Amino acid sequence: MIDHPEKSEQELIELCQKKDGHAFDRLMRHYRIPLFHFLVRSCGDKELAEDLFQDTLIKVWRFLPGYKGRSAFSSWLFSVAHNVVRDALRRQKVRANISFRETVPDQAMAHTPADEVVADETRQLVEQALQALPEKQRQVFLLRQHSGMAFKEIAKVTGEPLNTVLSHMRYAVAKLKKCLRDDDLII
Amino acid sequence: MAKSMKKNLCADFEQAMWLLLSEELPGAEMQDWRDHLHVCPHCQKSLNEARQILTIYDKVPNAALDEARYQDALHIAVQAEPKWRALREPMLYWATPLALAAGLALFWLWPRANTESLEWQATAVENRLLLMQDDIYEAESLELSDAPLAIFETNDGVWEMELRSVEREIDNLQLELALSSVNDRE
Repeated sequence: MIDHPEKSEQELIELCQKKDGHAFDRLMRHYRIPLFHFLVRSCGDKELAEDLFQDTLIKVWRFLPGYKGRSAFSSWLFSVAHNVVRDALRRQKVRANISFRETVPDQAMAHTPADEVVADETRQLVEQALQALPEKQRQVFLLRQHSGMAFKEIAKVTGEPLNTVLSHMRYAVAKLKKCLRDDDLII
Repeated sequence: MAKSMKKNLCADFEQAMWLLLSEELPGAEMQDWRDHLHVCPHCQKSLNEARQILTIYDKVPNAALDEARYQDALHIAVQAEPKWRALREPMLYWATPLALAAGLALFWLWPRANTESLEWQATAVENRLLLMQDDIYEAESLELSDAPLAIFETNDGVWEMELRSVEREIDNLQLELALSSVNDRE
C-alpha cells in the first residue's frame, strides 16, 4: 500500500485526479475536522452532518478531475460543502434543531471543572445564536471561520456582491455579540 | 463638516473592518484604515469586539467525527465512482452536445430513411402489381401517404394498407379476383 506521506497538497490533488484512493485519504484527512465542523454548525445536527460529510466526499472525489487550481483547494472544497449544505437545507427544509448532547468535543477550551461549565454554556449560546441567524448570514460566517476563505472568494461561492457578504458577516457577529453579552460572557 | 466626514468614515469602517481582519485590503487602503484607527476610539472598540467574538467562537468545542465514520465515508466516496469515465465530468460538458447531435440526427436522418424505405417498398409493390396487371387486374396508380401506407387503385376499387402487408394482400386479392373472373365468365 502506498501511503504518500511525503507528498505536497498539489501532488496529492494530481494523484486524486488520477483516482488514487490513498492520496484522497491523505488529502481529506487534513481537512476532515474543519470540514465536519463547518457541516455540523451549518445544519445543527451531528447525524445529518455525517450524511452531508459523506455527500461532500462523493462530490469531491467525482469532480476533482475538473479542479483546475484557479482557487485554493480549501476554497474549492468548502464551496462544494456549501453547495451540499444548501441543497440539503432546501430539500429537507432542515432548520436548526441542535442536539449536541451526543457529541464529544474534540477541541476543548476547558481545563478545570469551572472552565468546563463556562465552555459548555458558551457553546450552547453560540450554537443557539448561530441557528437563529438567517441562512445566508450563517453560511458567510461559517465559511469564513471554518474554511478561512477570503471574503472575495465567499462572494464568488455564494454568488452575492462583496458588500452584501460583508454585511452578512457584520450582522452575524453583531448577533453573536449580543447573545454573549446578554449572558455576561463578554463585557 | 469634519464631524460628518468622520461619521461616514466610521460607517464605512463597519464593512471594511472585515477585509482588514482578513488582510484582503490593498496596502495603501490598509494603511489609511490603520491611521483612522489611531485617532478613532469608536472604530478601535468595534475592531476589538469583533476580534474578541471571533476568538471566543474559535475556542468553542465542536462535535467530533469518528475515525470509523470518516473511513466509511471515504470508502463509499471512492466506490461511488461511476464506471463510465465520461460521467466523471460535469454533465453539461458532454450531455448538451450529445443531445444536440441526437436531435439533429433524428430530424435529418430518420425521416429520410423512412422515405427511402417507403420508396423502396413502393417500387417493389408497383413492380409486383405491374407483373400481375395483364393477367388479373389493372393497377392504375400507386401512391404513398405520410403514414407507411400504400394507396393504389385497381379496377376493383381503391386500396389502402400498410406497406409490409401489401404483398400478402395482393396474393389474396389475386385469388379473389381470379375467382371473380371465373364467375363472371360463367
